[in-house]
Amino acid sequence: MESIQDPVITNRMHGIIGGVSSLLVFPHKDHYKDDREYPSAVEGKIKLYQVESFSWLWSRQARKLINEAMGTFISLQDAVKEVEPDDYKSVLVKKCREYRSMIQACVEDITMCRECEGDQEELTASGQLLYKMELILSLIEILFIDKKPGGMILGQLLMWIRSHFTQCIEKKNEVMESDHPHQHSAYWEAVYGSVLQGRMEDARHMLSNHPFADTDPFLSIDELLRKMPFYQVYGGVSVAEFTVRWQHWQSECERRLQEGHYSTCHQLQTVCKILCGDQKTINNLIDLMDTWYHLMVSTLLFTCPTVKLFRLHSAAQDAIACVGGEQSTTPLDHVLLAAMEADILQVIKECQQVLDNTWFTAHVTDLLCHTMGQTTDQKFLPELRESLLLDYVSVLVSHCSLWQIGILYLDHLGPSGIAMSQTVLQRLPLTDDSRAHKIIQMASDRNFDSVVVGVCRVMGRRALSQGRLGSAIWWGVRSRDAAFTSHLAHQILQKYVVEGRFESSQLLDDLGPAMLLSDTLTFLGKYREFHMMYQDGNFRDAAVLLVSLISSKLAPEYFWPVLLLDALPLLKSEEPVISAEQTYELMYCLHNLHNHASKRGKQSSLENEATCSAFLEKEIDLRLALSNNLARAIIHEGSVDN
Amino acid sequence: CLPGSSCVLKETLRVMFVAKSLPAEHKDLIHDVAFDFYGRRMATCSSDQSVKIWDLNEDGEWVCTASWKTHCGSVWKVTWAHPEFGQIIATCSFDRTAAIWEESVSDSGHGVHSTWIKRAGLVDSRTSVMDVKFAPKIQGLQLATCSAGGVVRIYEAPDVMNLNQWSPQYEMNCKLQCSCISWNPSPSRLHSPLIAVGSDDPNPSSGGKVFIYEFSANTHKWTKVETLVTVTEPVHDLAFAPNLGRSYHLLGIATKDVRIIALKPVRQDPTQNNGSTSSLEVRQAGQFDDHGSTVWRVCWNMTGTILASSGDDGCVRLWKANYLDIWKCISTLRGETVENVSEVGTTGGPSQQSGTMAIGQHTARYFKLAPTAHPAHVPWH
Repeated sequence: MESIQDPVITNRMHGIIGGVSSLLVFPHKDHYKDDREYPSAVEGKIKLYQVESFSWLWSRQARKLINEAMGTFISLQDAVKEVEPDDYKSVLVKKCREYRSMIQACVEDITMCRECEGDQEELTASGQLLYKMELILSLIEILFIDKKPGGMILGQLLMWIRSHFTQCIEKKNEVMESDHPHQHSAYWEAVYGSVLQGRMEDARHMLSNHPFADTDPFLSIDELLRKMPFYQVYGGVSVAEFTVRWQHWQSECERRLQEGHYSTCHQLQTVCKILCGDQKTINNLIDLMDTWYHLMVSTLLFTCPTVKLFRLHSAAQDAIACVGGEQSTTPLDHVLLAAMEADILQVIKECQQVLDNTWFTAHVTDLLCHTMGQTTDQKFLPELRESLLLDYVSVLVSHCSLWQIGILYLDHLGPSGIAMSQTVLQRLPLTDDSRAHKIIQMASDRNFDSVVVGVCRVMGRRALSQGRLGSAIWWGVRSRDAAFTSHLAHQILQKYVVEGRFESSQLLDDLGPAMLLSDTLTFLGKYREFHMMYQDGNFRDAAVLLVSLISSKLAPEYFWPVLLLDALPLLKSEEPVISAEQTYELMYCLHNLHNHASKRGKQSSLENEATCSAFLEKEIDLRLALSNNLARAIIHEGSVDN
Repeated sequence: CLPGSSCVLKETLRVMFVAKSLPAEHKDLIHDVAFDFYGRRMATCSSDQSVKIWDLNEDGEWVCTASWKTHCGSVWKVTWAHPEFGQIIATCSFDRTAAIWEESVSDSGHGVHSTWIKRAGLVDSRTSVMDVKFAPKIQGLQLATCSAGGVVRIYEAPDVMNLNQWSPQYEMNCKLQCSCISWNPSPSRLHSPLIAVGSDDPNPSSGGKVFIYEFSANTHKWTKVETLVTVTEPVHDLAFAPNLGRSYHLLGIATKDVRIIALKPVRQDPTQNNGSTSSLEVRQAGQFDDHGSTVWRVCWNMTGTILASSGDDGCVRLWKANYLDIWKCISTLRGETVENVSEVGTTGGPSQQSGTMAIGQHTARYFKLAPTAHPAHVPWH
């Protein structure tokens, strides 16, 4: 339970969620429904609280892990689709090792960081977290993913112990670097430690440094150490044959012990007892091993080197009993134990206890899900995988710079992933144009049409509210919003009527077929075309266009005066460009305009009045030009016909 | 590389939970807080009859950018429209009205200045208007209100570019006083528009307190398709969850406990020509008494995966379902009185009694709370 310390808020507080998991909390009291004056002595002391849970995933150390894991995750999903089922295993092992190496890289980063700066406590905690993750993952690799034929796991477990428990190596180095190794206080501990990890070469090396190395006991033990058989999976020796050889060797150890070969040196006796698999001796050396799993592996090394996975559980229980029993086990122990029991669900559950973030459980469940494949009776696995990955992505998308990674993951999570992806993309704040374009790009790559349209609409609205009409039309067109673009087109036209010029003309000219979205927009686009034709001197075509714009009724009524005034120079041009037919159209338009204007009379707005009066001045001129043009056009056409 | 021993023995986990405070600046109780669609703007409304708008600046701080009186009585709720329609909020009040406000931004020489203009006042109600909510954007610009007199009204702005025109479209009489309303956020071709209405009528024998209305495109009517008879205690808040791929709708309800109800549309027999409304299969997905007292508010996060509930026990709780669709509480936040804190700058030292409080005038404080044994991911898989 977390708490906020503020007396005002103690009685009751309300919380509102924003985004994925951030909360806004405010104090609340009963209010009288009839709105009586509430005697509130709370003025000035009411505070709002913004509450966020800070995930380790947002720390600097995790950043690299997140980025690299994404690469591995995606290549794993792709590989599984493309590769033959027979080759799955090598892919999975490779990916597992990639995850492990990125964790190790993180650990190294932290080690370097500790020397410079940073919150020491936080770095230590991160380091421990990563260590645990790698420990668990490497065990999972051995027990689930990289299963060797024959089921003989001790070799792998031994490697696992050796890479995670390095005290014996450190001690050995310390001892051997000293002037008189055999007199070093840690000398024999280093020897025992090496033997317990099956590092026979190291043990022999240290013993050869002893002044008595040439005496019988030392030579004898050296021989035993040298001759200990180690099972090689691809060594060509069958399990049965190995077992025979090994038992033969251990019998030899026992014989030499009983015959008192080492009675002069009790440390060598201890070594020999280890080789004989004497449980009591091995248990007594627990301080060199620290954990029950080291103890377990060392015990198995000297009692049952051909152990198979299904027997691991009871060996684990025995080891646990030696180190203090169930009550002293930690959540980490539970994870390892569950793995040894091959209980995937339990492993994942226990991982959630150990680790405070979803990175590990999400990726590992994904890995295991692919490993188990269809062969499994673990029907829950695909759903669990999806659920954990969605949880992981939820954390990513709450962060302003990790959301893109989240989207990439969602591509591989089925229909739920797609739905979440659409929601997330829609909800990302459109802080600026480039962010909007990025989101649109990602959405259209995934055919999220509604998201693209949605973003464009919001951007269009925003441009409108900032007075950037051209930009608003650009967005409006992309969002296929006819009503909005119509509205904008009207605004632009009305501005033209008042100011006599187009703003954002470049944007308007580049509309292309998009202008067909709404009638008003089409008119605007065509009107721009008219302008272009006129400027190019292409008067005849310009005239045709202008007249068609008038007669097609595309033009809004407030714009007719403008069009008619545009016709004026064309009517007056030296060469007739407007035909008789077209002139009639123009006259008809003028006639309608005149009627409407007189009907509206005093109801017209100020703007309309201004246009109207400007128009009225020109009206006479227009009528004259129209009649003149009509006359000459009739004559011209008449003579052409002839 | 860290030695094996020390790593195994230390199992403490660090979970940071950060709470940042800001002064509310309202003169009286705050009744509602609403985030906009992107979570970067916030509206607060209060018994002081005003609304404040807050914007998140680049430093992640909330800054109040507008504050104005909105009604002649306490403002109960405030809500944002979808940004596709512009920057618009609606408020409802004890003064029996609801109102719609639009932001107008002017860029004078002194920087951007924001004012909110009243576009419309909805005055049809004879009683206090208790809740107001915009419809999902796919239904256009529509608004629903519910009143203490038990009437739900639905308004529409037929021209989304003209916010001055709102016409009342539908009216439903729930017969019991209403406290809250929620639109189903994800209607589609398969699921017709739905509204849930909650009543805080104190009498259990007046029946179920949650009503589900469905809109039929054929008949152009809202019809009550379901009354949740298992909810008989007063309902103070309810909310549909965003639906990200579920085949059913989830409704969170704040009543004497927290309820999560699943409503699954079941297609009627298509041969029946009056089968334009679908029937709903009702299932209780969760009922939780963790608050041990009345629950006043529920709300969902944007993915519809986390529900926040606020109760009389002074706590806010977060609820989440696992992959088996079993709901559990994943987090609890409580307000606490700190004992024996001495105020910075007080004269006269030693008379601090335990239990009486003084708060410093801090505007922002970061609380780093103690590590917990169970992080937010309480294992419940």
